[in-house]
Amino acid sequence: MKYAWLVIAVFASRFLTTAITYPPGDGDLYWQRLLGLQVLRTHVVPRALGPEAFSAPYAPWVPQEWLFGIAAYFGRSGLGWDIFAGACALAPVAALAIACWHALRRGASETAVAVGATCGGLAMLESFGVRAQVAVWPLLALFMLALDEDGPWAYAAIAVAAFWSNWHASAMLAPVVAGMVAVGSGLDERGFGKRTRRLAIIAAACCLAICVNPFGWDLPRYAIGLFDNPIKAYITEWKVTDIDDPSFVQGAWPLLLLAIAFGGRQSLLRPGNDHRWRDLIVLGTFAFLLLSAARNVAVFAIVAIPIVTPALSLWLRKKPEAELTRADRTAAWALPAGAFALAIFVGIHLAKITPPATGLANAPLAALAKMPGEHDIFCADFAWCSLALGVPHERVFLDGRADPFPRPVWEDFIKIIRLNHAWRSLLDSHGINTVVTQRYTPLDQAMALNPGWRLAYSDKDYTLYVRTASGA
Amino acid sequence: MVGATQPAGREHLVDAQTASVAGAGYRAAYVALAATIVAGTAFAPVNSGAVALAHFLGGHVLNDRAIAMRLGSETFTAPGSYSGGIGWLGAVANELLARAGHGYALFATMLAALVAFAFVELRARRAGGRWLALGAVVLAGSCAPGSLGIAGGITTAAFAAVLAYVLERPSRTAAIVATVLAVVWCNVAAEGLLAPAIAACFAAATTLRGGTGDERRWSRFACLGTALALLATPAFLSYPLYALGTLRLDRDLFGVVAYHPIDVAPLAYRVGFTAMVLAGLALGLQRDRGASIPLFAAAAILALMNGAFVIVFGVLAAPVLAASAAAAYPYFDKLSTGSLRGDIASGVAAVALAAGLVAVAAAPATAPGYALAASLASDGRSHRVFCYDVDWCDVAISGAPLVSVFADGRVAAYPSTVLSRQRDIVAMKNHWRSAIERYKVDTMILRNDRPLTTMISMAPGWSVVASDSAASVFERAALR
Repeated sequence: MKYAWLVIAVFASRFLTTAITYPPGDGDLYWQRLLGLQVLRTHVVPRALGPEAFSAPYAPWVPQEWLFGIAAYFGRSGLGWDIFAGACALAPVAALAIACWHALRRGASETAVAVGATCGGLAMLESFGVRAQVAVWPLLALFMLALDEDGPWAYAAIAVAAFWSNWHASAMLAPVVAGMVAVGSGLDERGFGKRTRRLAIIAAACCLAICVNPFGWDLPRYAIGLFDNPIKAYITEWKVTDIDDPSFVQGAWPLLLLAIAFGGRQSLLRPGNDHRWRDLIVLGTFAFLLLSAARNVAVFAIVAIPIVTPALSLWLRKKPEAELTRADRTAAWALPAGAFALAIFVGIHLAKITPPATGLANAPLAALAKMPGEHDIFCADFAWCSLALGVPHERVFLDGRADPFPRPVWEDFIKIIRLNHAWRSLLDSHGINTVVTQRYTPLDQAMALNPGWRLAYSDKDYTLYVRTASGA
Repeated sequence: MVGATQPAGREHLVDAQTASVAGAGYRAAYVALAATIVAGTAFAPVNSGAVALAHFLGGHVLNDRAIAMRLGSETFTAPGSYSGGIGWLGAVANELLARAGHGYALFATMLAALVAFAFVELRARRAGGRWLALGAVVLAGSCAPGSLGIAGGITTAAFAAVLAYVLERPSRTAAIVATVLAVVWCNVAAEGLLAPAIAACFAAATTLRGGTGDERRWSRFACLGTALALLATPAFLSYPLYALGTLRLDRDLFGVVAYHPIDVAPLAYRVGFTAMVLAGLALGLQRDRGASIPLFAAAAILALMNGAFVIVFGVLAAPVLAASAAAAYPYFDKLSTGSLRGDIASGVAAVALAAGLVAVAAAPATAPGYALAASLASDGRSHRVFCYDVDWCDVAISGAPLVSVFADGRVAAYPSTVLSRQRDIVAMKNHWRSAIERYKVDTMILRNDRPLTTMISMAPGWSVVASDSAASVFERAALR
């Protein structure tokens, strides 16, 4: 790990800086803190929205991130925030370290692991934030490591899956991946051998393990329901991956290309590799996920590092001079040069760090809290409305909890922000009397022309419109 | 002796039977594939914008005997702006085919598709045998949805496939043929710019796999020849610059044109591109691994930059994967699968099928949005048109000089200020209303489900005069 540690250290500083400067009042963190507080006070995890969501009061809810919510509550400010944010920064670092260690155990060389760590770190940069899905990255790395164990330690994967399911619904991956690894193992062993039997047991146990949380069977059911959930179309992270995702181009794509370049019987599927089908099935599945949604970029890298780097090592190994091909000689300088270029890139990134924009409508919502009356609020970015949760006399149309809101609410939300021809009648039919938008956006411009509404607040970033008496 | 020869005789008999069955199966698969390609072309949607632009540019050449090197009165934002006559030869060919009738244009597209996939098959056959070559055609074909229609991009795939076939075995003849092919390609379309890039990949491959001195020399000559071919167009030195803009790879065009694969070629990206990547993972780049990487990686990056090039990735990379499959599974190479005579018969059958389908395929209706633009071009009134989708305005400019447009699909020819204003208006940013006033826009073709459409419908003085499933036409009251 001597080279990989160096690479990981560079990324650790980047993650830590980003985490500490991440806005403590982020909209998602706000409702997660409220969730944590509610759990701590009542000792019960809520299973439905409250009356504060006027578009869908008491709609069923699976607050999958409940444990993260409790942590977020303890880390809401001051030193607590620094510890909490720092712990979140450690998550990708731990994931990288585990994946690299896993790669070394599989016989990868130091150089290959360093190349893998560089790609992995770059793949994580874009998705990184103080968020629950980031916190579970090391659990995925641990899960893959445990599945690779050829002994009783493999059963640790079941415990990891159970723990994972209390942090994030992505734990649904655990039984799926374990099942695929079992199938691959069966192909590798050409039968239902000892290892395959063990993996099949683990896969079956993981099905139960992901129900070991306050939601039981509802968690996997919720995760399965996400497959055809239309809200994915409106969340940036779920968009289909392409060249405009820097983490994909700089991190995951090189790993994928390396996997393709070193796939086949000579390396990834080499006869000496006794888990070649397992590797291929797992890598193929995560490659499919990678190309399906940008949020899977980091996850792919975590899984790919231990599989790709041993194959790369075979190519990088020292050969007798007579056996060296021109491609070998090219690789001898091209790979270090590539790693150096990536290091420069990361250095430039570090130098250009600026605190992220808050992206939160604190000021207009603070102004609204001082206004008399009942406010039924529509936020152009639904995460902003999280700040209105728990505020007296304020209810929200849609907030950062997002998932539990029914499909028709989402469709109406989209119609309003896209100024569909029915947008005004939807504002009326839902009884919305307050709209928070970003300045100069289409909705802001349309609201300015909307009779029956008046501008109640504006600053350089946000505007807040309320219904006039005539518009009520 | 008898005991020793008898088993061998039975083995020979079994092999002959296997070969016979494999040969028949191969020919059936070959014909079925060709039929699928031809049928896919017959029923694929037409790229109305590209056809209209070809009609406009080709008509200019045929009627005026001159190539339009600058934008004219068809635009009110940048008349006189240099456009370089990019793709003049392709436009002339398309216009001649269009004048002859829809069937001729369709037949030419079918032939282009057959050529593209035939050369994929031929290239893959060299390394992997005939069965794996068919597999390569299937893989490449999975990248084709969205590209098979008239002016849909299959011609680009055909040029790329032929060029790759020629360049794969470097020689003096190959270098000459590649150069001539590149000259033709550069005059037919902006995509000719890809010729030297493809040649460079093959030159790198030849060097990396340790080709002979002659091979390395001729691959570099091919590189040089295809690069020089870029200068053999009416635009001369300007061709690379304007062709690059026309390829729509420039990220500064965000908001003006679509290039994300999932928007441009959703099915090809989701199915074809993913299948190619997964096949790559399964098979690896085994034969001449180092040599294959530049071509595979460059073609994939191109497809990721603009979904229109997913098909180019398919035709360039599928034979590479067939070669890998051959190295992994030599069994397929041993299967006897017919003869040259059988191939020729299959090819003739495919062309005959194409001709037969042309006779029954009806001319497709113009796509929504484009149809509205066409109605403006033919209503006999003057319009200053803004199109939400610049490609719609390709159709509207056929009504010039009465109709002039804010910007059309020739984005490389428009100054950045105009494209910036186009982006501002679409996104409703930076004094977009005053831009509309300043340019005296009196007609707007807007996408139905966009905020701008609602805002214009709320604006005083504008009213909707026509609409279809994709777009609505708004006119100022003063125009009516």
